[in-house]
Amino acid sequence: MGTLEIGLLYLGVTLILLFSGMPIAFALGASALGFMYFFMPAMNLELLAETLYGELDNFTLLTIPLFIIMGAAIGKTRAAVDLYESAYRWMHKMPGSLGVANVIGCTVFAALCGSSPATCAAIGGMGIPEMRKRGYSDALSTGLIAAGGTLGILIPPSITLIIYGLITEQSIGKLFLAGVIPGLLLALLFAAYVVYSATRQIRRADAAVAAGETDAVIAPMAETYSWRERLEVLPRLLPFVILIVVIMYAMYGGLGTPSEIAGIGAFGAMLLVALVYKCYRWMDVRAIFLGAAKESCMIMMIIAMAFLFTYVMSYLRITQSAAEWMAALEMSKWAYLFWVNVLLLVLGCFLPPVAIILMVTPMILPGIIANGFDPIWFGIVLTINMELGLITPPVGLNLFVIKGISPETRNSEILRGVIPFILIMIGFIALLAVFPEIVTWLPNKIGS
Amino acid sequence: APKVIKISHQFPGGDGPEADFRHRLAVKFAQEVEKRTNGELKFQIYPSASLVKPTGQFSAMQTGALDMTVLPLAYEGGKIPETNLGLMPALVTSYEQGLRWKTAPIGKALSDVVEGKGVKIITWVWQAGGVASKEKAIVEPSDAKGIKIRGGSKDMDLMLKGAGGSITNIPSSEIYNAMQTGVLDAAVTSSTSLLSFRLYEVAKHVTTARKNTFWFMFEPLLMAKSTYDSLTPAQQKIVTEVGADLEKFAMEESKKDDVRLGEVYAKNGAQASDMDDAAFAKWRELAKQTSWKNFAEKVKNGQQLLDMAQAVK
Amino acid sequence: MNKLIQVFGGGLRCFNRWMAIIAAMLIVIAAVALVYEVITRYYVKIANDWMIEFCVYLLIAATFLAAAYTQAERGHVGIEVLDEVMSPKWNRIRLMIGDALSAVVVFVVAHNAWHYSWDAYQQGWTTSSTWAPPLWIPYFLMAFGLSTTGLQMIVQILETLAVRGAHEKPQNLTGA
Ligand code: NA
Ligand code: NA
Repeated sequence: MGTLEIGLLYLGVTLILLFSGMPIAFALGASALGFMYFFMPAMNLELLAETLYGELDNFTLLTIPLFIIMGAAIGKTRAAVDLYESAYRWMHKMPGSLGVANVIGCTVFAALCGSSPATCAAIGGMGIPEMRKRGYSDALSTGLIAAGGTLGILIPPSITLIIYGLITEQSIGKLFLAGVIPGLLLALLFAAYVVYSATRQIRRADAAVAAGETDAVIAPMAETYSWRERLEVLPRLLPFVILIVVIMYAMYGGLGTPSEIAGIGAFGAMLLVALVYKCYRWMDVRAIFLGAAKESCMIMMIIAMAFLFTYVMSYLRITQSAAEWMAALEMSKWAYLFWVNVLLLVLGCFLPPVAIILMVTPMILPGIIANGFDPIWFGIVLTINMELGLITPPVGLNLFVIKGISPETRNSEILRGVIPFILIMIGFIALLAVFPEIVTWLPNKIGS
Repeated sequence: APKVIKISHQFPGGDGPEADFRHRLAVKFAQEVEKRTNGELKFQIYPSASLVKPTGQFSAMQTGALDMTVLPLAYEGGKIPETNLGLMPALVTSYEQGLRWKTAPIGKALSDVVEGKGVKIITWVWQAGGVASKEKAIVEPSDAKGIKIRGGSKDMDLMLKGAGGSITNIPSSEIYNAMQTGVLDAAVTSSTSLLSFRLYEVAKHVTTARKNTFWFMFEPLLMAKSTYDSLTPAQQKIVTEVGADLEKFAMEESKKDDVRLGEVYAKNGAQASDMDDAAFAKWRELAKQTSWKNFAEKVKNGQQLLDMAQAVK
Repeated sequence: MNKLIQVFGGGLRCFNRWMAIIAAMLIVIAAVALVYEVITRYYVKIANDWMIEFCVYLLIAATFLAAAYTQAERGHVGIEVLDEVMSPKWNRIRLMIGDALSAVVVFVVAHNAWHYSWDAYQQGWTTSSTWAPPLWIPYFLMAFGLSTTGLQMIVQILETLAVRGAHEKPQNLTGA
């Protein structure tokens, strides 16, 4: 069999295993072991443990469980509610203010947490019922939280950017910096859409009222708050502002490497959560520990098994042939970028970000660089694609979270809700392609 | 059908005279052997650790999963302590002296140890290195006092610790950022890496290997013994000859990088210093009291091996 | 027989849960160690040349010790498009085949890791740093963690066989 045939067979077997519903980590592992057994010299099976150890023997990977435990600790407190409550009190009178407060909540939480589903769960747990109580449609409230949650992997810290940095040997510090402006800008676009959508809903409701259909339509309502009420929520935010500032300072002020910063963040978060939120009883701590252990193990196992999977691809020269084939395609750089994005979008429908990045980046990155794109910039584009994958059916981790928070909302409503945000994100990728400075300006500025 | 030999290494690929010479060494070897064996042996080269991670390469050769690699031998120091000689500070004094190991008793001893573990040395390659630093040039041991420095290997760390340096272990991919942000004040590594990491953008000083250096790394082209044994005697002869022929190429390219290091750093506004004999002597004295001493104590026949290495003129 | 599975499965779950808690504690220890490192580097200037390897060992321990608990909680995500399409009976069969294949994967890797762990112990392998901790530790953790994960999978297969009709819905709320 030639490389092409083996490559296709490998792809086919892997897809079957993945779609069989097996855990992604073990599906990748099974496929890799099978091909090692049938197509590679037997000694490769004798090296399994060493191969895995060699891949996991990586100081930077430690950032992943650390950032996860940080997010888990903060997620366990009422910090998310505080975040969003104070944002709301300062937003009043604007149409869609509650929705905007939710976007702000997601944005701030994203700066404290490296994963998207965690961001989604933390803000949505409170945000979705509140929005619905005040007349937001099911679609808008769930779509908004699903999309807002994805900011978790774009705004640093980000597990996705860590993995990308690891396998492309790009500086994680630089990648984190590169995510800041696009993250804030995307949050702004989400907020703008909420204001637009709420305004439209209010206008429709007004028209309905004028037509005499008083009981048919509910529109987003907003309350007003006095200055006193606005000021009194601020102290509750202080701990998190301090934590974010400490992390930012440590990262860009040169206190440590990414792993060290993650260590400081995790330690600081545990401390804050214990001192400020009095979360030190064994049952609370145990819940944080179990949640973090599970999430981090799930991701680390995918990473470990994906390493075996890509080792086989590389040994059988599937990666190299695919990369050569892609780099040699007779297409313009924009066409290449377009098809790469389409590929990522399709994969994103089914696979979680970690698996996609590990499996696909070695194949597409040579072509990206050959076409003159900046790998840091591409890391951000890739991450936005991964964000999209989190809210596209049939497999979207954020969609599952939403379903968990709001089980009575029909799937079709959630999907209707996320579509506008999907379009915004696709448009945003196009914007970054036209103005790459949105990504590269900050890392270059701090880098010189 | 031709026999396919897989070469894996951790250095960047690419062709042209600017590309990493360690990759070009692998390519040259492959082309020449393929030509001389009339295509009986074919090669697949995996640069940038795209097949096996740097630390896994040696055992991959031991089991036969990998045929060849270009590898800093001291990576195996935890399993084969003798290989630490390949990155022992101030032990090798020049490229020429290092190459003479090959025919001296020390070379035989090292080859025997490695071969006993199932791997053959095909091309003897030494590579010099230097120090990039931010505040001041690190030329003498006293310059390292209180400096946050990355030695990059066990024995370098021991010596720098002895000089009063604050050893900071970070992955090589983070060196640039660490120096930029001040996590690191100085980094010690090969001239080639000091160039490819673009540290001249963040460092103000560099100490080159143009005159002397305490940093010589043994980075041979290796072949799995099982692969070597599976070749015909004629093929074995070609492999050995081509491997030996490339030693001169490797030395010249490595020296070029030492010179280029000074030039590129100077061009980017950093100050390039050289290490005079007196400074080198101080480092050597320090190394004897720290890393050499530790090696002699911890490794069986350690002192004997050090003596053999020093006996090479 | 069912009773036996119940008791053994219950005991294993409890054990795995404790392993997961220990795993998380190890991560907290890593965090504390890193804070200590940064402080000592800046204010006391102590060389911490053992830190990286210490933390990597903690990472490996945390990953493999939590694997069985994560399996017990069905926390290893999968693509569940067939869940809605197939009948409960076929879903159960599919789940069992998936568990069996997963068990083969973890046992094969675990077997190899036990081997390495023994070799590393016998031959006194260490890492190549100044600190030079023994190499059998990470291999042992890998072997142990994957073995308990495989055991957990077998228990889950037996449970699926025993509790016919009740379809265990995999959980899917984590991930990045
Ligand atoms: Na984040
Ligand atoms: Na998706």
